[in-house]
Amino acid sequence: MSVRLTLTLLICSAIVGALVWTSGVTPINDLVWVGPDIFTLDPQKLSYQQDIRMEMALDETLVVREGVTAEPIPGAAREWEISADGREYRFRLRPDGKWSNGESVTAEDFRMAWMRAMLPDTAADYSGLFFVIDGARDFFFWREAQLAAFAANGGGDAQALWQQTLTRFDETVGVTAVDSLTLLVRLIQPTPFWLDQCGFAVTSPVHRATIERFSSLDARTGRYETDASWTKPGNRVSNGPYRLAAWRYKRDLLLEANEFYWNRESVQAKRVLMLPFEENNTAVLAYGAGGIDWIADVTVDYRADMAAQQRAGLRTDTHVLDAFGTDFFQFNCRPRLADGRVNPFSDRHVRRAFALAVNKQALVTQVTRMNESIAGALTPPGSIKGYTPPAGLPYDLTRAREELTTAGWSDHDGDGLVEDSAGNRFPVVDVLYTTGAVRYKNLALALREMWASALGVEVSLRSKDTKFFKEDLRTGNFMIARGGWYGDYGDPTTYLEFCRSTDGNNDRRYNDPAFDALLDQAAAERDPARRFALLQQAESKLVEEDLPLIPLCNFVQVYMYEPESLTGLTAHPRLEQYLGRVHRRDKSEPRDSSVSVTDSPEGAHQ
Amino acid sequence: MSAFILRRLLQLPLIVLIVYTTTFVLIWLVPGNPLEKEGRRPPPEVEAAMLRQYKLDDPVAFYFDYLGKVSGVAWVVGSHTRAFDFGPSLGHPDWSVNEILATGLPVSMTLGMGAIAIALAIGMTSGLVAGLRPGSAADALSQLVALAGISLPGFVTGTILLILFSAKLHWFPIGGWGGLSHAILPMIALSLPFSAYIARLIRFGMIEQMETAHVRTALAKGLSRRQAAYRHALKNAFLPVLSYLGPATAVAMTGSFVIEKVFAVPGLGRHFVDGVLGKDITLVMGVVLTYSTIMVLLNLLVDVLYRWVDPRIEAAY
Repeated sequence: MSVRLTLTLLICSAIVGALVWTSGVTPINDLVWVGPDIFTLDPQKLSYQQDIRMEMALDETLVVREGVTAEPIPGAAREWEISADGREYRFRLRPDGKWSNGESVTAEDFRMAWMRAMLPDTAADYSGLFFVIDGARDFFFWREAQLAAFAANGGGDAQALWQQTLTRFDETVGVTAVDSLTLLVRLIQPTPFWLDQCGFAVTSPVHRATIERFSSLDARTGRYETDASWTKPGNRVSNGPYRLAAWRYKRDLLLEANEFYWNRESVQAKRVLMLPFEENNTAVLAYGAGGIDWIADVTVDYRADMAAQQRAGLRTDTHVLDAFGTDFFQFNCRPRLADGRVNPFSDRHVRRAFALAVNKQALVTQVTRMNESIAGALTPPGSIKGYTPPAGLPYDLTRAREELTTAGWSDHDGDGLVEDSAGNRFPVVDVLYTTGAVRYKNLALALREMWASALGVEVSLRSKDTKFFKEDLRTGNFMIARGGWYGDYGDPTTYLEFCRSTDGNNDRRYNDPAFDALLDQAAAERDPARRFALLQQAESKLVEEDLPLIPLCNFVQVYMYEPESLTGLTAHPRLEQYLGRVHRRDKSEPRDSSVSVTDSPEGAHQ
Repeated sequence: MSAFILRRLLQLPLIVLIVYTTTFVLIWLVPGNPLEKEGRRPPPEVEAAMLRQYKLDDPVAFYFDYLGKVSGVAWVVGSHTRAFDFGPSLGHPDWSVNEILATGLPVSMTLGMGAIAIALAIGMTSGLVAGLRPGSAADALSQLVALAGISLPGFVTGTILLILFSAKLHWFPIGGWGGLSHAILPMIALSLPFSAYIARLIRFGMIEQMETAHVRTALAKGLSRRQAAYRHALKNAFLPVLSYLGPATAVAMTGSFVIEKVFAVPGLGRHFVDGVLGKDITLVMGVVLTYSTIMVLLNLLVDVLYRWVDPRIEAAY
């Protein structure tokens, strides 16, 4: 008996102790929202949407893409000039720009940040984005080669190499701090979307002194390494609406209004708490119980039913918004399959036949049941000002069968299945999707039905876990696979470049010199209207002639919030919410705030 | 006894090394790049530079370099500034694995020990009630509940508890961690399969023990059935529970990721699953090595307790 007693006492005292140890305080917050877990608060290492959103609450980029149009407006830069050849940008920072520690924001802070992004030492996802800057690409690979040589020699004078690197950056890279408030940027070629990119979170400045305080040179590898603790509360200095007050791993993240921010008057919610609930169902339950103002991404399986209730007027808190991304299924365009067989989908007639046989409207109303806007092209319509994406192919079964016949496949023996002229049946179509995502399982099942009945082919489905799925994509072990792409910046090239034959994300190995040539022509074109016309031509080729992929529909994101009590969210498809604008609604405040989701001209489909 | 403990402690590094090697090989065999994000890849040259930066281009170098840092050998020989350094998490570069372990482990341990305490209370009570009156209605009920407790997966019982007691009755907050009110529901949800198992062990033990010679002797000497049960039968019936408690505590502390997910509890189990899915090598190694050390130590503790409770084992050695 004494054993049990001792054990019980031990366990009880341990629990009480641990509860006291792990418990926290419950403060009063002006805005509480649930979003996906934050990966990093290092602006140059960002990649995920939730990190980008948090970064935009902490720091301010040169320009800000705010409001319904997402047009760049002055941010950390008060004004800018673009040279006549479109290659030189002179940004003048605002003199009242301040860091959260009270120090002034300088051109050097931007230069430091951008250099970090161009250093292989940082291992930044978006290094490539800076390669449009004169000398940036060469600088990156020069440093990488130097580091490789340094490590191969078993070390050396890391400090000397670092000095050499700084000098080289000064001399060869087109980012110059002319004076403390003027930043001069020189590009390799005119890049119409560069200004838009200067509003992308990855271009945020860093507080130079902080970075230098936390950085050191690794004696063995020669790398410039910044201790990750610089992004932690107390260390992290920011120049935007908020400062980082608390951050606990996968538990919560607290922002407090930055009292030194030049535009502090515009910041509505002074204390903003983010809870990264991983299980979305728990978040929805917690929202129902009260205390949560906004769920930024509702992913529960029953969200289609919630959206249906919203449409029927049975609830008011579920909002389906178009996101800046397109869902598609993609074809393997390689001449041969991974197992050596001839790939029927290397023929664009076959790809067109499969695309024409897809009833997209049925997919969004009966399969995903989210009523997404169906997509004919890759670029979401209305998401980029001045650009009209092509219409794409219609749902046309007669034309689909004709295309297949043109490709040499028709039903000669009347068994309902198509054969080539030698009588060989069309290979069983291998459709690959990811395990665990109900959406893609359902889509794949529906597509199998559509293709089998319309075209007379046999279709088999294969699901794989994400890592293995990606491996199959890379090695070309598929005929048709699920896809999907989100845009990074406000230009059609964000959707077209990944189809270029040499692009690292061209899993389809679609290779058409004419398409690449159109992209090159557009890159060299100075007139914006003619440039968009060339890009539209390229996109038409993609979605109306060559079909390396079948665009299905716009991606959507589901927000949960009560429009009566929360305002300040934008419905622009990029869904880059500026947290400083989001706040609980004062009852006296009119509902038609220009950036409110429900009332915006682009409108959320309710 | 002390020689036994010493011998077991000396085995610990060997066991952990085997676990390290096995985990390392398995996680390395998973295809894909831990630095790759959902949906897109950086340009190939940038990707190659990133892999080199984290030494992910060379498994052998990574294995030994990391082993040195993790074991503290690198610290002892002076080539690294910290002992037992698991390095930065590959998926969450702002956090070191040590930081993640330091915040997640106390949460998981609290949750696990709380669950085991509740499981002991529920399991012992219902096991005794059932075991003393086998075949009665109370026995049938307890058996039925135990069956449900073992069969129902955590995400079902957890969600039911959450909907009933938090969403409908508002007795407890939903999700998060920060006090007793947050801890009770996940602890109960986590305790259910363990209480069911303990109940069955006790029930079976009691039925068996009540038929043994020494209990019958005690009854014959005039002890009441209740006195005989508590003084004589329960001691022996508890032994299987004791040996079950070691692995059970370890499992409760380490295998609670489903419950942690349902209740949004920031414990280690969740981080482990995320680590595996994201091929976050350093995080997975950190969690696995910590867990295996705990597992070995808990098993050792149970073995020591067992010897203390049941002298026959020491004698047999």
